[in-house]
Amino acid sequence: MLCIIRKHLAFSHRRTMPTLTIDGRTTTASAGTTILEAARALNIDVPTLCWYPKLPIVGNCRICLVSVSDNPKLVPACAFHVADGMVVATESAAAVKNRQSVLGMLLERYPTEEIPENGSRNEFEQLVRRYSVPTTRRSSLPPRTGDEREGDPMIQHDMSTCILCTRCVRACSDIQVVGVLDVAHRGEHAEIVVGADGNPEHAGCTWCGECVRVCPTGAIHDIVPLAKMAANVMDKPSSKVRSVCPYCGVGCQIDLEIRGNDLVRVTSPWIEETTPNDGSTCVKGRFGLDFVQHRDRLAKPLIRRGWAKRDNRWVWDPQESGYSAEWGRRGGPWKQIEREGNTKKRRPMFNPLRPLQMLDAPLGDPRDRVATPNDWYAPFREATWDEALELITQQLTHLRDNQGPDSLACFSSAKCSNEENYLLQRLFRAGVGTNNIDHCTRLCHSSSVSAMQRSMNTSAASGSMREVEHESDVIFILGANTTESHPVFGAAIKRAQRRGAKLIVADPRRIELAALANIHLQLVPGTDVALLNGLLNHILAEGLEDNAFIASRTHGFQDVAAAVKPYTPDMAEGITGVPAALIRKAAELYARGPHSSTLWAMGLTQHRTGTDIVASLLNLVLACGKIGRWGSAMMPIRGQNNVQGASDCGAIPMVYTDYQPVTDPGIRHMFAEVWGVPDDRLSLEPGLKVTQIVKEGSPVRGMYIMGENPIISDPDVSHAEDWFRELEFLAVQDLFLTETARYADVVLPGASFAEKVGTYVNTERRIQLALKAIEPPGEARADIDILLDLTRRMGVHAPFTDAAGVMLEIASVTPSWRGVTHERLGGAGLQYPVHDETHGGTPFLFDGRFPTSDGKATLVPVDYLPAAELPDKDYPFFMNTGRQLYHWHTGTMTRRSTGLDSREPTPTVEISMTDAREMGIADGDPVRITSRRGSIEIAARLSPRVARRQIFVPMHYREACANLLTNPALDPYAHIPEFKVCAVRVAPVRAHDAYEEREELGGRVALSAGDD
Amino acid sequence: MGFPHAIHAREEAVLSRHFGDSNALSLDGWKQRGGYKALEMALGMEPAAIVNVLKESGLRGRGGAGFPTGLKWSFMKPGDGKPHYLCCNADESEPGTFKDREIMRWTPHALIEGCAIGSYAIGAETCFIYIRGEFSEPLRAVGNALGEAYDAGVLGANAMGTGKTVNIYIHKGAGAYICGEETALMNSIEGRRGNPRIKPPFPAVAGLFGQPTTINNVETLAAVPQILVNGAEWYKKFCLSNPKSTGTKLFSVCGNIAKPGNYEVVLGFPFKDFLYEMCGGPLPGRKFKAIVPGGASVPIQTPEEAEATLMDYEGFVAQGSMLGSGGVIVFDDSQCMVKLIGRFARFFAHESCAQCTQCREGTAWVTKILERIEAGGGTMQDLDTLLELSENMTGKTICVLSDSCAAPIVSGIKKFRHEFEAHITGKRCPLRSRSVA
Ligand SMILES: Cc1cc2nc3c(=O)[nH]c(=O)nc-3n(C[C@H](O)[C@H](O)[C@H](O)COP(=O)(O)O)c2cc1C
Ligand code: SF4
Repeated sequence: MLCIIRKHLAFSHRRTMPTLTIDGRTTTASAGTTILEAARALNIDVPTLCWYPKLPIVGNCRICLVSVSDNPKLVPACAFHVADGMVVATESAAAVKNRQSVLGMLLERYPTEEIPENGSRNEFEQLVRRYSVPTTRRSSLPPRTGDEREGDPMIQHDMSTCILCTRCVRACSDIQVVGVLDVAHRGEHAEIVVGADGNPEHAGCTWCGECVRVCPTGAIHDIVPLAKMAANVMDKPSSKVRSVCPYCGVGCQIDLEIRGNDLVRVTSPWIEETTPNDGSTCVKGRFGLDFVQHRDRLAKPLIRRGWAKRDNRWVWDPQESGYSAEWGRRGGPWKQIEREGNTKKRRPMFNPLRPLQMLDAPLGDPRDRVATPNDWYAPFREATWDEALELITQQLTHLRDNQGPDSLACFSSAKCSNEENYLLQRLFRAGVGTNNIDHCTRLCHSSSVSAMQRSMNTSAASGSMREVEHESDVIFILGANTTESHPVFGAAIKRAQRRGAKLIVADPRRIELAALANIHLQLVPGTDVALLNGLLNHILAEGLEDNAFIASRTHGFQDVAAAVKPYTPDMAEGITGVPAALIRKAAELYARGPHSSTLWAMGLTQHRTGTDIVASLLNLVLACGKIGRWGSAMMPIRGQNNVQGASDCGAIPMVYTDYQPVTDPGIRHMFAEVWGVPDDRLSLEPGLKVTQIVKEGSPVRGMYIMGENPIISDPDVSHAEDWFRELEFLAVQDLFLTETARYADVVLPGASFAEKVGTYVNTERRIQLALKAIEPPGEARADIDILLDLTRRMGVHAPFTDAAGVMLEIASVTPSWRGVTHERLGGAGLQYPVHDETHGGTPFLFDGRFPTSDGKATLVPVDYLPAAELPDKDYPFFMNTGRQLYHWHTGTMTRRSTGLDSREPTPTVEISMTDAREMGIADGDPVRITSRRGSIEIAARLSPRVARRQIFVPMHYREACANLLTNPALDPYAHIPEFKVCAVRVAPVRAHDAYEEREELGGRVALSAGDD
Repeated sequence: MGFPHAIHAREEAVLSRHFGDSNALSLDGWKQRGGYKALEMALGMEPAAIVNVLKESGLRGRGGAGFPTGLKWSFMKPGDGKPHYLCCNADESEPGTFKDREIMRWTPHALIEGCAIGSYAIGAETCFIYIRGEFSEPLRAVGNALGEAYDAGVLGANAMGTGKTVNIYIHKGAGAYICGEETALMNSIEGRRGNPRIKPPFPAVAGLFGQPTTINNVETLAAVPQILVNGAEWYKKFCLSNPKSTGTKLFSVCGNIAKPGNYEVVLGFPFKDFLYEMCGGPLPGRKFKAIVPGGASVPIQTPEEAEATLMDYEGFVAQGSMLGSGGVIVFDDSQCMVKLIGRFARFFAHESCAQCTQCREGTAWVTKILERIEAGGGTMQDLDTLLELSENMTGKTICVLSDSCAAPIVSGIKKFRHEFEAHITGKRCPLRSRSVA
């Protein structure tokens, strides 16, 4: 019997694993392998031009032709499959002759005079040298042409060096699934074109730069605005450092190319390396990092004028020189955000949306428009580190001792590393004795976390992005505009759809993915629970639920089944506006899967019913058993690059690292021991959350803020701004003098991601290491240094010198990070849980059990509750807020990036064509948007994406700050504000209207009519 | 487009019998002439049986490559659960070839019937007829015929009342020669740029929309009904020379010859008789100088070679050329070979889809050189360059357009080198004053 099996195996082995000889070396490769793949496995370098890993094989350059036994013709190694007994000669005389001829022909239309003597500048020229092809031209063929991108601030073309390998075309259409580039014309006139008319904007270009990455000659290349490079110096950075993109939660790995202390270019890792991004980036990652070297970077600590050191103590003395009583205790010679929002802006001299904004456009250098205004510096003087840290220590100690530890609070940062977040919470817990520690997770996924904690005791995504891309049959995306907010993941989803996965998108806007989706559930904002209950209702009615999963892995199903009973698709249609037939179709598609992944983001969470909404989604996931299998991922898509890690490291008020409750004395004891403080120094009281801290009547009197800008990001900004003005002490550690930092007593200049070592956790629980590429500007210090210094000044033991050391302590107190060290994080990083030093990480969770006491998840019945503020006669529009592709959060970084800001220089509101027509608003016209809380003026963008009576305002602009309008209604569990729904009215701005509007707003806005 | 000549006594009019007979255009007219009997018969047969008849008949592809049609059909596996497609290649754009045009103009139902039988035989419910965009009259004729066939229930979900589904669609080309290449044609139908694809995979494995597909030329498919009604033995008997070349073949004749037009002969017919007897020989006072027997892509023959040729797939190869698509272009002694070869090259340079380096750059480069030689600016070195480029353009590209461009050049320089040299040494075209074309 055994021998039969063996024989069978040997047979199938022979059948499926051909043995062949390449250049005299014998090898075995699986059937379907190409000669090129087999040769690469043997480290035999067959030259290629059009071939690029993972791109569709087109075999058009004809340079990889090799000789194969029994074949009179040369065959393309890139496309020809291996066969048993094949003998391949990769450098046969015929193959070499063909290569020389191909290279020679390409050189005929190439600027040969630019090729360095005896050297080469790019892949193509390397091959020219390798095959000793003469670089003298023999024909009179004209140089190659193609669409140029004149004046483009990010991507440049020099099509005279194009060799028409079409890598860019395929990268654009098959990796990024955009399809801007193509080959036009035929014969000698063939050339690469940008869309139909040469305008990348019209063709839907997203400036991701994938074309730049794959181009083998530099015909398509990038410019980093701060260091424009001629094509011939492009490939000569002095060093290259691996880092992690500081923007979204995809956590793309990037390579920073350095010359001297300058970051000259960002490239992406080789496509075959295992990185969460497969080496792709979006526009922000590749072209948006020049903020690092922006002239606004703080290079010295700043202390507010008025603070003076007398008798060894810092005192506030309004008589101190430079202090102006006019500004108040904490103000300055600037307009508050509210007033910026109400300022009558000059009508743009031309339509700011079209034509395409290029560098030489009349807007001038965008850096001048978004820089820190000079007068913001007026209330400050430069100080030494010693002075600054001494003042902070004195004030923190003073408030702690006089008003109690809970009079202090800190905001940690989802932009900072795990180590920094850990140190800051350690400082506040051990040094101050308060749990008032929070960060912007409160404003993004806190409701997801509270729902997931309640239902399955977890706080992170269960699966990985690559399983969604490669394995899911159905992808259900709710309230997530991935192609703009997480573009690299968005592209992966588009690739998944090309592979055959079905897409269901629930979103009030017809965003890119919604337009592509198999089913778009365009619901009325805030009616998500009704929709989700409706889906589950239909699934149960059809008997499509996963009864085995429900029985063995969950509690509470009966209650939920009863709760969704009334939510028939027809009833859900009445509430959500989504046709019942679509609800039924989506429900069946999702439940039938078989592998369905569930993705969501801010569109679900930022509601006063955020926790309920996510809970109703989790009910759907659990009832259908769409979790705990490879291909069925549950994934809250994380916004910031380290929002997951900051929470994991304890920068939230209720828990230490790994979500260990602060209320548990045993856990407290463990931390006290490691931190070297008595147990009772650590509070057993859960701390206050962002939205409880920044609130009239909150007990907090002094704050330390690291890398956050709550004055733009909190709801109802005008109240937030007033609250910060009233603080007794405020210290801010940041890269720039932000809208928040300008109210500080002390501002500490920190280091950007490129200037320090640190680890970050992406949306799939992947801990990745970013290395230091350059020195911070001036006296700015790595944030770890600042925090360690402060920790010691606060009298807490801190036995570390660097980030790697901090990670050792994190691992020692964080069970699911136990096996994490910096040494192990090279390459793709590790997906936690990492149980010990040998454990390789966990790509997906909950195979078999949930981390609850009995291993089962709980379904929680929820009922639909409308948004807190609905449109009415006075405020007839729904207002939605969110991100744009080219900007990031409060704009601190992206608005200081030349390329990004030139793409979106002006705040715009998306408004439907019909509404605009009715109000006589044209594209680019200024409009005034008013809610019960405030008013802004902003340019209209007529958009087919928003439904009637809905508008979308991006959150990035201080001059039209969306959060002046948003409703601070909070979710009762997670305290997340309702950023996604409020009622507003919209009116075109004409001279006298604008005046009246201001009058109407009453005493709150006092502007002179001529105010500009 | 003219009216066809009367059938010559030595022609064997199988496909061309009704050319010029406008009554054959309508469904009724076609039925009166025996039409759609074959389809009715076919729909009652097992698909494999039809394929066997085709195999037996020896019919080979008339689009250029001469691949045995029955064998091609046998690669398709009806019932494998995938949609199958039949494509009819009616993009006829090869310079000198205009036979498919006549079939579509005069006997559109023959083509439709052939397509329907072919579809059924390979398990395809859908057939696309890809018609060259400039073919306005054939487009109209096939379009009308198709409409009639649908109205009469010959096609559709219940073809001829048999419950079998045969759907035929016309896809109009947009003026690219390369879209006649089989995989470029599929890309074009799919709405992509008409670039040939790398093979393998062959269309029978992954063709139109990635599904198993068979593609045949108009003339090939039009012959199918005849074979089916009359039997493989009948067809096989049409053979005057090599038994591997059976049946009748349409040849389109043009150029400097007394009676140009389409002639249908049994394969193996002597080319000499064809040229001198059927087509009337050279124009008065002229002598043949060169003959391109199979469309612009094949090597040029000298009159001696042509006269020694038996007209079948093997016979043309034996005399230094190929049967190709059967487009016979005749040049007499008033023509400048350099100019003519340059014109051919310019055609291929213009029509190259521009994927392959050798083709894109090579076709443009040889065109430049040939035009320079023709204008009197060439050097002897240029001839070496031409031969070197032609060699590099042959056998190395995705499709054979590049080879096609090289073939007339290589054969032209080999067989008419003196004319090239005369241009170079005399620094002008020796025939210029007399040149007509
Ligand atoms: C550049 C190029 C152009 C071609 N053009 C045509 C054409 O116009 N019509 C045609 O029938 N075959 C054309 N062919 C041949 C087809 O690729 C294919 O061989 C033929 O349609 C197969 O049909 P058959 O087997 O019936 O001959 C062309 C081939 C090449 C390489
Ligand atoms: S040989 Fe020419 S026409 Fe054929 S695929 Fe290559 S480039 Fe295109």
